[in-house]
Amino acid sequence: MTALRITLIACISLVALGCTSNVSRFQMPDSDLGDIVALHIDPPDSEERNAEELRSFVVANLKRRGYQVQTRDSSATLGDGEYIFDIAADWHWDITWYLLELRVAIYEPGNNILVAQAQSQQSSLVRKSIEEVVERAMATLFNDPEEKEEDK
Amino acid sequence: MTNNLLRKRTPLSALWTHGTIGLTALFLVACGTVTAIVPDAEGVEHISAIGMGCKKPYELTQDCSGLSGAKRLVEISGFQFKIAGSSDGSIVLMMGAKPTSDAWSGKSAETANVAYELTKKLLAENGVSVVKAEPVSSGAMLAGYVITADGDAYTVLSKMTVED
Repeated sequence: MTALRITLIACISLVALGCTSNVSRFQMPDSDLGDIVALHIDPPDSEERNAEELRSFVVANLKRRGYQVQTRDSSATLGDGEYIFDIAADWHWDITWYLLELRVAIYEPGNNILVAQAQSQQSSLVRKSIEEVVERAMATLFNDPEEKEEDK
Repeated sequence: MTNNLLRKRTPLSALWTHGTIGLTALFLVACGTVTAIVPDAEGVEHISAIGMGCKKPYELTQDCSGLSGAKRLVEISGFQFKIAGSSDGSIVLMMGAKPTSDAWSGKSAETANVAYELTKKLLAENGVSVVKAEPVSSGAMLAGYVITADGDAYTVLSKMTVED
């Protein structure tokens, strides 16, 4: 019975604490975020959950960082310092909808080669707001010092 | 005595079994469902890792095993993964991506996405473009990608072979 209790407690602790949230970041070798001037984002997809709200938080965050933000026109040729910004959100249902995973990524125009990406995941138990998840993912993507300290 | 023991053990073992299954399911829901895929593969139908083989959905004649899948180990910028390819090299299965050392901080199946992006960049640098990327998944887990290229992608990737 003791072994059962210990196992149950260990499993619950693992679920409740070990997997609550996670961020990850990847930047392509030899790439530089310093030369980014403008970012082009696809218009929100009306069929995706909360796409407009999510996009507006991302746009606000990018503007605060001093980037020009434009709605992407796939037929337009982008100039130097102009990149594509991609947002991918994964919503899951657990009594109510919550944002399980948000991935933000910067791509080179033309060939769509990745420059950098960040991913923020949270479990059903955490359920941070859209704004909080966006802020966390963006801080990770742009390597904000505050986010680094928080991760430690 | 035996009956008493059986009566006592049955509810406990049932609790154990159901509890373990329940917690495993909860754990998987909480931590194991990584479904984000690279933008190139958005809207593309997933290939089931369980259902695929060396003959279907594509004929992979290079470094493919019916049991273990892709066999050739390659490494790009600190990420190792295994590849198998079609005879002309235009179709490549990549799976089992894992970072070596501190290549990145991620802890999830997202590594497959990073490996894909690195692969795409390497191919582009060698004049080969990816024309289609199909996610290979096992349940909710992303296992890798099948890449269709406009040239011999397999030869380019094979040059990155490392010892298994």
